[in-house]
Amino acid sequence: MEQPSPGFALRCANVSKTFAVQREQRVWRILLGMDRDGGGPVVEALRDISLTVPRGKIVGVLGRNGAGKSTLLRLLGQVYTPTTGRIEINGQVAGLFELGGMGNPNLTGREYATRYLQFMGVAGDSVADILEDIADFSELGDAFDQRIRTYSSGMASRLYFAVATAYQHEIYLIDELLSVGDEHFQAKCWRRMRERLLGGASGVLVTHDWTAIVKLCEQACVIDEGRFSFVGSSDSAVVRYLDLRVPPAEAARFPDTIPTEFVLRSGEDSVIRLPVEVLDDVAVDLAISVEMLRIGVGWEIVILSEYYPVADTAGNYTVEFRIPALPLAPGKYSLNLFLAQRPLPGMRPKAGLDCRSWTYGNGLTLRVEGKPFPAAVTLPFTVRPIPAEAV
Amino acid sequence: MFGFTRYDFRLLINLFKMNLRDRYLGSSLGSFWAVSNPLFMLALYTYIFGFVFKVRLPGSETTLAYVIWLITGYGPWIATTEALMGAASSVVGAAGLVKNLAFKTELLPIAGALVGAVNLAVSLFFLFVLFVWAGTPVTAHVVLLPLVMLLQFFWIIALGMWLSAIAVFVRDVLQILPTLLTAIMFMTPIFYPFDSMPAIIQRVSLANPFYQIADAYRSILIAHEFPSAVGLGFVGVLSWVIFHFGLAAFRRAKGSFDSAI
Repeated sequence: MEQPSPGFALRCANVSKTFAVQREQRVWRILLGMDRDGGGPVVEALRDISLTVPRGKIVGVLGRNGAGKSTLLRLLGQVYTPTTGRIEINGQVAGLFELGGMGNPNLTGREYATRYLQFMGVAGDSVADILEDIADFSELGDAFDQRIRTYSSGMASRLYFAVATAYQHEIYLIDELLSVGDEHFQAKCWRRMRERLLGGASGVLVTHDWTAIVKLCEQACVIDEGRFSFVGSSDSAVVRYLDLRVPPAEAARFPDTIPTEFVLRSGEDSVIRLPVEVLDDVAVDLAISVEMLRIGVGWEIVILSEYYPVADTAGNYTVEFRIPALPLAPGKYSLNLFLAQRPLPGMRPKAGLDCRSWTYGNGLTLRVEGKPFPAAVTLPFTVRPIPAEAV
Repeated sequence: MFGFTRYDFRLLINLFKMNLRDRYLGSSLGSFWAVSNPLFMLALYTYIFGFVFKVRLPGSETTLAYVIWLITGYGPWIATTEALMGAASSVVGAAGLVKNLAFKTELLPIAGALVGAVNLAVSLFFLFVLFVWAGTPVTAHVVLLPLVMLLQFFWIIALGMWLSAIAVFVRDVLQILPTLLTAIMFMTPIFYPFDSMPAIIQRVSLANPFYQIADAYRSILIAHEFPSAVGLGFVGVLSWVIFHFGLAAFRRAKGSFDSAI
């Protein structure tokens, strides 16, 4: 069935999954389909899950243990069939589940890798190169040709990770993946995931580690007791997941009329005007930061200002930020604003009054337009050749 | 088709190749056994029935005629046995894959059954050697042979879909199956002609898909006539029904595989 390539890599609609309790005793009923309704106790692992993974994106699923994360991943990997709902997949799937081997610990590392490549249909001349790369990346050395049962758990997971990411798959299903090995190896894992994503892979990452979500995903969902309790940007999802408290915004605040998106042009003198409402007679300072999400690395601060005084008495104010020759490359940034009470001498810390920030899930968007260039920033420099005799 | 996509088809081919490697390249004499096992069985039954029991076909006095007739039925049967066992044990045998990789496990019994094609190829090759030796003509009817093979494997896959899922929970299936297959083999007119069975059994045998498949091979290769369209149609429809429900049962049950395997 050839069909035009759609814009999504993976999509599921209204998917639910129930498991029969004590299913070993009810195998025949399950097989014959007599287990539908009233057949006995069932556990509803997932309910009404809808999710779309666009091509080239990783969508995060955040959840605590037992929330249904792994079940969801197995459904997407077609290991389970959904009880109701539809799953569509457009691409070759590589599942990185609990990073178990293929059940046979008597295989050597090399045999395991070879078997995996066979399963994925890698053949011909490239196999030797890929095996070489796996041996190299997993840092197993001579152990690569010894049996997996002789490995420590760290060695085994290094092997499994190296094998699963040895070449570019189209869709990755990742389960708590990046907690492999020591810091040195983790850094390598992240670098590799980043390469794969920049290579156009799509996928789903389920984890309870919100930092991984922030690093890899733009979109994320929070799953709670088998249901999505939140679907949206990954920063908002993290806030929902961590249940962070947003400052009360009582003494001073950004009015609701504040635009959610600012559009500036790269390289031009730029102005951002921000309305601020001060309700009490307190001294209020404002700081601003511009951050960008680099996939596989995380949020990086591009511009971070100090706190500047805004007001000492109640009233409506407008604060103007001027950036001459805006040095940002075209793209999407998070614009974060922090209002704080100015500390009196001897008083600390700075009490937050209101904020707009991705860390609280309400960051503003800064869209920079202009001619794209490969660096993150550009500086207003000029180049001029000087004849030798003039120096 | 049946909820499979082209990615699944690619994976099916990979699984098939893996099965072939495991089955025949794992041991040092792997490819030797692939050829010699069916030949040994063919030789054994040829000796027993052709030379010990001295069975002759009605209207023919030579042992060679009987041997050719025997192998046209028994060769495909060896492939059936191999394929059905391969399909039935496919999920249990691939526990590691089932637990750790993301793919449609319902491809396993299909890939498992297709391994029987090796046996079929060996038997048919041997058969054509005998044809040349005996000077038996091969007529244009052989163009229908691929259709018969297709139906044969469709029928095996349909049964295998059920058996492989059941075997995960009831391992005994894998122990009983060889015995059961031997019983079916002797109940099916493979070693003796259809006409030598009691009339009432003959009527029952018409509903036996294994008989219809064996008969189709013999119609094409021995009698040089078109196989019974009704018979093959019956096998096709029955296979489709069993496959359809087997696939649904498999998909319902596969969520429980990882806890039972």
